[in-house]
Amino acid sequence: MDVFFLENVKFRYETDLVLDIERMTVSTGEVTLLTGANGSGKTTLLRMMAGLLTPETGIINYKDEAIIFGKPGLKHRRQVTLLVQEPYLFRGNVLLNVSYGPRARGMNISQANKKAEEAILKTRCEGLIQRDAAQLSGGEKKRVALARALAAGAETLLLDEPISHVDEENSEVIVGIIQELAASGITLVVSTHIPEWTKSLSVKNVRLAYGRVV
Amino acid sequence: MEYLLDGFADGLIRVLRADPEVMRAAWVTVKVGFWATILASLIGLPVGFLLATARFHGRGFAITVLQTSLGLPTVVIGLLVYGFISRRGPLGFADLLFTPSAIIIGLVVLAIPLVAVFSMTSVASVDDRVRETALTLGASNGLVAWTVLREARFGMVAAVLAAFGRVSSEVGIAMMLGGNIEGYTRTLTTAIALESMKGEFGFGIALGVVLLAIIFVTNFLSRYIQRS
Repeated sequence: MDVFFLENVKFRYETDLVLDIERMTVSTGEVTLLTGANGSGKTTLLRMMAGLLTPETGIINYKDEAIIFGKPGLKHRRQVTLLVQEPYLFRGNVLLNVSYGPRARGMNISQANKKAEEAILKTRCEGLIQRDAAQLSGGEKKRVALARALAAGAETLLLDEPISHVDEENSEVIVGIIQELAASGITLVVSTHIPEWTKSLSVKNVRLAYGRVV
Repeated sequence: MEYLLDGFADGLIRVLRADPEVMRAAWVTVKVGFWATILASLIGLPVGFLLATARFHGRGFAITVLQTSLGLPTVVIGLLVYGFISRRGPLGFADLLFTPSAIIIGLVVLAIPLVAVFSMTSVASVDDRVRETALTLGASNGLVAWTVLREARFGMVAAVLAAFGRVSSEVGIAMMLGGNIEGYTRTLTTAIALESMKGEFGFGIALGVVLLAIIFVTNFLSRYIQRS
């Protein structure tokens, strides 16, 4: 079953056409790899699939329903979570950050913390749990952001350049988590401009160039 | 020079002895400053948040009006509020003139633009990713707004403290609307103006020291919060 269905999707930044997708699908439980050079439209596409950017024209359906973009699209934003390339961690400690998604879904503090702790264990962040988010290194921030995205409990994860600007050690951990997620059957859409690290994964490749699928 | 040194010495002795007249003026200053800051914050903080986050027709004009209001002379505010609350004014029936409430009204008018502009700047400087992160983690509209506010909280608190510092050191409004009644509407600033005109330099110094101490503590708190 297709979870995402895109047709004739166009997006412009001012006058520049940065995305022009004729047709694209993402199936349930599949790992879709978006590749392409910097500026090929990967981030714009992911932000649209997350419901954060509204296309100029075209259809983007999630589970046969048109995505509602922006603030009104709460249902979609609870099904699909985007991990951006340079994630922002809220003021406070790691636990507070990771428990944000569960708390946003109405869980009480102890339930949310339990959910957060599970995600923290999965992303090997247990040593960071009480650390101030502002004091973490770039790689640690990315792992914590991944834990936060996992704890949110979305059925589809969109990962924008998950190992860019990350040291080797953190990169290995993140790749391991992505492999585990892929094996667990979660739907993943992952963008990268260095696809070598995905060789161990069974993926569907979607290559973008100048905003088009090639 | 001897006159100045004597004045400082007299002033310090009065402070150390907790001169009752100085303490009464300090109490009135803190009391009206506190209530004016609370009321101005209740109005100014939401206005600042709205101007920073919402896009609506006339937003630019509203910001310009608020920024202009920052430079409004306090005697002009005093004069306008006086017009409203004096016996012949539209609010004359409330008999507010020369009461602490009158000073509070004037100080609220003075502090609202300050709180609104400072909090607007503070919210506007919150990283754009905060809103998007909250959205993509499934936050409701209310929680998104709360998350942005939470990230800007140090700036918001600093705005409130800056407003308290400003209203505590104000003289024109307190003089015009309060009438400088000893023990009732006499604040530290109006007392300084009165005592120095009477030639009581030492008394003026004592009042000034207490006023500076209040403003110093406020600014210290503000810096502490911003740095943390």
